[in-house]
Amino acid sequence: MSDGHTGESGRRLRETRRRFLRAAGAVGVGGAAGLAGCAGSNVESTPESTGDTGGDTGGDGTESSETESTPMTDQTFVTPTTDVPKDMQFNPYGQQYPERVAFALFENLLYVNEATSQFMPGVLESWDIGDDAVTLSVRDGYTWHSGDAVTAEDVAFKLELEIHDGAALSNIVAAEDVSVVDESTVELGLKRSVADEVFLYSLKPIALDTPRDTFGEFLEAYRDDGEAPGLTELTIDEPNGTGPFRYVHARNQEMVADRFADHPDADQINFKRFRWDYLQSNQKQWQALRTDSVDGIDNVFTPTNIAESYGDHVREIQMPANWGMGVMFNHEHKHYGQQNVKRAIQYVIDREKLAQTAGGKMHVPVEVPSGLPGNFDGSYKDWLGDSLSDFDPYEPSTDKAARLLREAGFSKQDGTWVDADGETLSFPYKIPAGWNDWTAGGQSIVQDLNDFGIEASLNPSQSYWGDIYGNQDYVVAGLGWPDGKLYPYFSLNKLLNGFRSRTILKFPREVEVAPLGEPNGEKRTVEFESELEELAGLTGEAAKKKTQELAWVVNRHLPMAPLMEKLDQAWLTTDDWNTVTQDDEDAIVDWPQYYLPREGKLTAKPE
Amino acid sequence: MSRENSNSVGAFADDRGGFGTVSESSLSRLDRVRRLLDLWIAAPLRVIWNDARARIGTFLVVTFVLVGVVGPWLVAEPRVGQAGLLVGPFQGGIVGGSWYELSSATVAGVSVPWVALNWPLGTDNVGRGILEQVVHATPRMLTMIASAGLFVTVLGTTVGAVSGYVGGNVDQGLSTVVDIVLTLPGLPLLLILVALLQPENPIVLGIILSLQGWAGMARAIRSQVLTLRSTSYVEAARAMGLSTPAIVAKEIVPNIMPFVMINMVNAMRNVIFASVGLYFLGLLPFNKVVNWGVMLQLAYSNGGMLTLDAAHWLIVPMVSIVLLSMGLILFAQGMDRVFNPRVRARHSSTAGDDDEAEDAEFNTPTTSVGGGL
Repeated sequence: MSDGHTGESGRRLRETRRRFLRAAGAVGVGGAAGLAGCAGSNVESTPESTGDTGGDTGGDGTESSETESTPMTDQTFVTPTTDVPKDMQFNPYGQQYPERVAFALFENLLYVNEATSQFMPGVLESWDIGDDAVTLSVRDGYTWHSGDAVTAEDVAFKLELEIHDGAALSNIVAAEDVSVVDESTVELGLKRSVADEVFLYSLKPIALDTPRDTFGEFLEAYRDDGEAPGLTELTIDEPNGTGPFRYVHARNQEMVADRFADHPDADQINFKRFRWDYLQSNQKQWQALRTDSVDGIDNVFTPTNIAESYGDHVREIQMPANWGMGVMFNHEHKHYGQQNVKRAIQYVIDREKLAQTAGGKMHVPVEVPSGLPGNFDGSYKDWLGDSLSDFDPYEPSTDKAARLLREAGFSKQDGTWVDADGETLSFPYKIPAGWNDWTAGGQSIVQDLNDFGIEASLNPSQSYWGDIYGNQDYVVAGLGWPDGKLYPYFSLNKLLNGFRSRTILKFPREVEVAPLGEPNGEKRTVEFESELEELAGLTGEAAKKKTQELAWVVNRHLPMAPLMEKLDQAWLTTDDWNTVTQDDEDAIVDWPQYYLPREGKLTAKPE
Repeated sequence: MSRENSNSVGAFADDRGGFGTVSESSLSRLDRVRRLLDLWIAAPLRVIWNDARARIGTFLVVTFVLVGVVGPWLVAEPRVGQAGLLVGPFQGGIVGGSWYELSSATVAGVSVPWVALNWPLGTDNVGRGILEQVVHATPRMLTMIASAGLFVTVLGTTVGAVSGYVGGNVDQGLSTVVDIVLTLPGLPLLLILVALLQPENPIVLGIILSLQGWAGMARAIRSQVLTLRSTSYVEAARAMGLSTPAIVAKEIVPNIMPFVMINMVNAMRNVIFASVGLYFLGLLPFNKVVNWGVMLQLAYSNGGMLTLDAAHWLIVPMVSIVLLSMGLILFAQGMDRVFNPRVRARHSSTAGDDDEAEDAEFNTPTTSVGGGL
């Protein structure tokens, strides 16, 4: 079907990337041309050509393009971790898997640029996605930290384990359809045709972190019984990794990993060691950066006043999160399962003010609540096309909200909305404690709702995740509405059909909706599972049309009220390190301090 | 038998000695009222005025009450986005600055010049005035500490006094309850209750936060009452046949009042700290109206300790808590003197001459418990 990400979708992505960089105000004409020039070059790339890619963009902000001449140093890159190092367990199916540390210890199958949805090689050198099969090529030169070579067998083993464990890939590929063709080739049979992005994003979270000698028995158990009891309880204290850094030790306050010289990108890395200091809270991380006791932080929301207090040597890398706060309703609740109430709440919340309150630099309001991310660069408009004007933008309007509530049988008594039984429209708005931007934004939301007559109170809760995913003890809560991926299928699936939609939101499996652009037309029934399955396989205009139809359902039925989208902030220091500026597209890969060393774009300055 | 005879008016009508002492001059009703006012209102005020601690304490407490009662009418309600984000206090200074501007206000239909203060204590990260938040949080803080103080005082004093004075099985029963309450682990209990109930009403919150406070007070009061019930004048009152409520009210309670006051104020302070702590930890739901603890929490979590830009946001509620707490302590210490009959009598213009004051001193057991704290 296509090779990697070339063709029409590739062109569209390049356009999107330029738009994002323009929106971030970080690039000039030359930068954009340079970036566009390297798009699409990854599929055929070899280790050498990956290095060339770095060279291409070096002129646009990379300070360390001449990595070949950079001598080896004894430096340690220090970064925080919010996991207790001593408790880390390197079993990806267990509870204590340190995801950030894993970026250094294990190699991902592939990487993705979040601003552009451009996929780049990891363990996989290239991929060929056909209508009913996918061929994956394993890059030569990878070695497990134990010394064994990484082969196609290892990749197939991992993919099979993931499929048995119920990862996103299991929707597309059956475990028995994973086969090893030769030492560097894996072939996957597809259950149905899928868009390239859908397939590649399902590979994105997968790292080569399950050595066969440790996990073999569990795959056997899966093959025999379909279950692998004990997999989640498996503890691994000393991981056998595949990444550019090898585990040394984990103590109470620190975890240390040393450069692994046999990694194919080790030549690009000129520092000896990575160290993670246990800094649990945002405050501690801010303070660490202020006092230069860390060299970089992957993702911490930082209020402007704190950011301004950092020295000039601290560089901010903004990354589109394709993610942001929305209002999540419990559809089993007698009030908040009602379409009119949800729509009224969407009308009441002033999203512009909310984004400003949450931190205008890092948040943008959702322009048209349709379930499509891309508000930073307006890319969602490409998907909606001419139908954009048919969507309800939910401009703040208390009149419209009041009308909807009255239609639903509510009335206002003493300034508060009550239902026919006299029960007040009220809820504690739950958000995770310690999320500063959401706490600030939550205050704006609660004020809007209170002014309108809905008795909401802000409830930053320590037990948030347990309440949402464990006890499901919530009425209305704040939660990210998109899926962190720009390609629309993912957030539509999350809102209408995914695990969260079904088990947390308790959103119905099918709804009645009038045709797009004809609110009074004859309603049709939309069955989410089948329609989203269909969307996953569509490309081009057909994908666009189906996306519009499902976005229209989100716009009318609002499984969640989409409110804003955010930029993630990563931080790198430049006093001891050569690194990229925001202009370099490679900076926008999860996360700069882990991906950039592989590209030779984060190097220690000679001592 | 002989007592009946001695009480018989007819038999010893002229005998004014012994138990039948009668004042030589009678007071008119007005005189009596004047005397009461003097003893219970004017004299305490004079005591307060003459004691620096009491004066400062009373001033602070009265100021907070005024801020709580009148403040919300005078100061705008804090609202998200009402001003710029993280505006510093006293922007631009007083001379030529921008933190105030001449404006006008309409009083009874007449426009009068007025100075409009623009966020004199700065704003927070969502553009709400800090002064506005402190002022609008005050009524809830006062309601909460008043409810806690009353709860602890009424329950602690009643249980302690009854237990100590009545004795016997009643004492044993009540003491057992007190012991049980005292041995409950305070903080975990509090955390569980708060998590379960998520109280938003300040009265309920005050009571929950002081659920254990009454027991310590009851225990202390009981021991005070135990010492008092065997003093000569209480025994004398019993021997005279005065009723138990009368003895408790007239002989016992006045002597333990300084102690009660100090405990009440301690309970109030504790509830301030407990609520601030719980809000700070994010264990209590934020309400429509901000709370000083919430302000501290938000200020801290947004770098109030790290940068000067946000320091005012952290300092202002902190200063409010310190001032209110200090005011309460000084006020209680001053009350110790007010409740001391000897001191009060000295400041009373109608309490009689020095002899009477001496008598008062002689008759009053020296309960220095409160003053000693």
